[in-house]
Amino acid sequence: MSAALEAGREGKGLGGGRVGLLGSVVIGVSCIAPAYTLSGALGPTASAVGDHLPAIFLVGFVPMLLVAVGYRALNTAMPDSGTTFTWSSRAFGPWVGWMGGWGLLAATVLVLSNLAGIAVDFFYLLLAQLTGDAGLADLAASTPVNVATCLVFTALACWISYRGLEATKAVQYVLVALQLVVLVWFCVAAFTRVADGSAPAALAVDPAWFDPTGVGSFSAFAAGVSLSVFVYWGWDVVLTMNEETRGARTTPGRAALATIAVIVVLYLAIALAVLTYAGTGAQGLGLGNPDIQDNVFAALAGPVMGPAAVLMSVAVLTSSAASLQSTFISPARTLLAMGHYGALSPRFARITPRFQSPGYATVAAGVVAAAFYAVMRVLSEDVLWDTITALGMMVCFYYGVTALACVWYFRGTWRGNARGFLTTGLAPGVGGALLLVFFVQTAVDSTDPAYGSGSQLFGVGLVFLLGTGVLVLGVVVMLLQRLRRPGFFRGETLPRGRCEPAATTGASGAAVVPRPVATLPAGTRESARESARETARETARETARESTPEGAPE
Amino acid sequence: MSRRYLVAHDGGERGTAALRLGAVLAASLGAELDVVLVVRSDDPFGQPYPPVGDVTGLVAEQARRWLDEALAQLPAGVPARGHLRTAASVPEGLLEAVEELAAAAVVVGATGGANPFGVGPVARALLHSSPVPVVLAPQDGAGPAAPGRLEHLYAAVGTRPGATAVLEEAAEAAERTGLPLHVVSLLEVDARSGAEEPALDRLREVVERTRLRLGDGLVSVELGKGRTMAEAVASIDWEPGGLLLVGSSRLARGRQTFLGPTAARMLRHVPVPVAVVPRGER
Repeated sequence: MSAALEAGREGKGLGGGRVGLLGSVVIGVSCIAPAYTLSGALGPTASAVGDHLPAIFLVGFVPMLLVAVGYRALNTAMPDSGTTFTWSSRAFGPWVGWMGGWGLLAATVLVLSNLAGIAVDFFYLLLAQLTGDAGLADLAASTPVNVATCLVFTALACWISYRGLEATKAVQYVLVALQLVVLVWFCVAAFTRVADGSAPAALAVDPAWFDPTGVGSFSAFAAGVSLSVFVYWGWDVVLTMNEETRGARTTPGRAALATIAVIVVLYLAIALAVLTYAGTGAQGLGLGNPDIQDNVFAALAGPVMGPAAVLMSVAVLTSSAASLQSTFISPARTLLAMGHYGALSPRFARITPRFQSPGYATVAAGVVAAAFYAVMRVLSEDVLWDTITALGMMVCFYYGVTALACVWYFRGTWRGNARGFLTTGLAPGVGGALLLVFFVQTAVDSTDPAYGSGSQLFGVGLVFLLGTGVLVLGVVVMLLQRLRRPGFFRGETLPRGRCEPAATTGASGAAVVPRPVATLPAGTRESARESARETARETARETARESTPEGAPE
Repeated sequence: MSRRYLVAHDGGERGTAALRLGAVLAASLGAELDVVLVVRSDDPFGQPYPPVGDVTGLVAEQARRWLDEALAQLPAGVPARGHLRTAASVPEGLLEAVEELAAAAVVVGATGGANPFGVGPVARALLHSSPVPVVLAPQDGAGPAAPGRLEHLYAAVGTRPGATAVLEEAAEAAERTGLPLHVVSLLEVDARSGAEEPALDRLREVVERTRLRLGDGLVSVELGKGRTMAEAVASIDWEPGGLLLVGSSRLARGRQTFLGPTAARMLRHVPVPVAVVPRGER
């Protein structure tokens, strides 16, 4: 415990001026979890866009960047636990806000089940590599074993998260370093094998791979961008941590640039490495082979890295296991915020005293994710593939909604403020519109039963059911909540609002915008909550506050 | 200015136990309470993977409600203030509060969660670094039926030299309150052990000095013997409404508490609340 205390003194706390540039980059990279995302998304992306993989990784970053700019402005103007849910409720009213929150929830539950699935695959692969018994790796293909292992992993991660344990600075540095080293090793090994002719495809790098216009159809392009949005998911955290970083004025910007540089270079290198090494053929190790697509590193690491492939297993397993644990925090927090604002049952807003974590919401997220994975696994052979594709759609949806919420919320502040217009209007507007277009295109395409892995239900592609069906389910749940908890839907807890032009200060564009004053009379639930949140924030800044001067509790 | 005791509240069972004991101590020893609830701040390195908002504000809001409820629960005669604090960890926040509020002691719920014989992590951390006495509140139901006031003081005195700090503290408390002081020595004796006589002599000598200070009627000496600590503890006649003062280990640095192995074993079995007192000398 005293060791934990020491570590805490050094690295924890929102006290400002704590995280330097390197720390920010480490946090950014760990929030992207490159080893895990690449392992899951490389195959589906390659199957959509073929050898234009590098182009898609370059282009896919653009809408993400545009949206992140708006995300940052919203986070500065309305720092709130509900993020997408709160912001789109404020901008567009409760209905859109509710669906935005649902999209975020669905995405995090999807990523939970996908993470758990990847972790299971690599767990058995690692066992096989360590024992030299190749049969162990096949255990992951057995549905009962797979589902049972996955449930154990999910339960463990849920329990850790319930207890409010978080990865510490040292753990994150080790995890990120391991991922980067192993991925670079993989690249070098792949290029070496291409050079000495021992690679199965051994292609030369073709400039056409970098040309996004070469992608066959808009459908393929949209699918590719949806997926690359998923691989960059999490990067924007570097922008929103500005209060915690050392030198808050310059560090977030530099950290964001550095993280972008690290990630884009890494992704391009990996894309080129797998393309030149394996090609996109449908046979053997080719990326077009459906058998290896939903978990590319599991198939390629052995041939590329030789005995060192065990390191890849360790890297992906630790990356997905660590992410699995931290991913529980996301839906739990969103549920907590939605429960808090009366958009869901107040049970979700319960906080466990001993661990100070949203206990009910965490367990609920765990149960839903585990049940979802079990059902999906039975329905679809290629559950990892289909969840990843649906996940890309879901991220496009809720990021798109968030970005447009930014535009709508700040719409009155642009007069004579070019920078504000750029960061809160043009960039998020274009980014959000693009993401929603990609979402719609992918949704339409995925009705085809042959889409994604080719799994289907009632003649409709499983990806469509996952992506669109989940949103329709959200509408149903929302209508039920409307009956039970009309207050939120009447805008009592989160009234619509917009940023007033006078409030904008020119120097930092839209970055500093005071909270809009609640229009409701004093004493309403909203204003009480508003002030309570303000109080909480003040408390965080001050060292101690007295609630009642002397004795005499209220 | 009167003595202030810091009560570590967490909104849960441990906090409630600490609150109850804190109220008893405050009423009996004429102290005032500072009820402190520490909200842990997020570790920026523990970011959730798909980024979502920060819920520290919501947690703090809930914590404030817990704090208000806690203050409302206290008996009317106990002066108390509530403090909501933010820190990287709960023990860290409590120790900062102890220093800032110049608390004379810190009262903490001590149950070990899943481990029925252990001490909870917050209490353990305090026991290993607190500069003021740490009072461990047992779970409700454990120990004597929650008395309204303190009736007896117990001071556990080891048989090795260096136990004077705890006795002095106990004598001082007895003097101030007029409560009867029981000097207790717990011995784990097996068949081969022959260390009893010199140990007893030393004990008598220390007790004599205390007796001179307090007067005869208030001090009694009890020797608990048994093959195990549980037996030794059981051989003492614990009165309801008692509080046991235990000294800190010789391993403690400066004026800090440090829970020695014997004291740790004692804690598990003693049916009254225990206060661990830091070593007096620098």
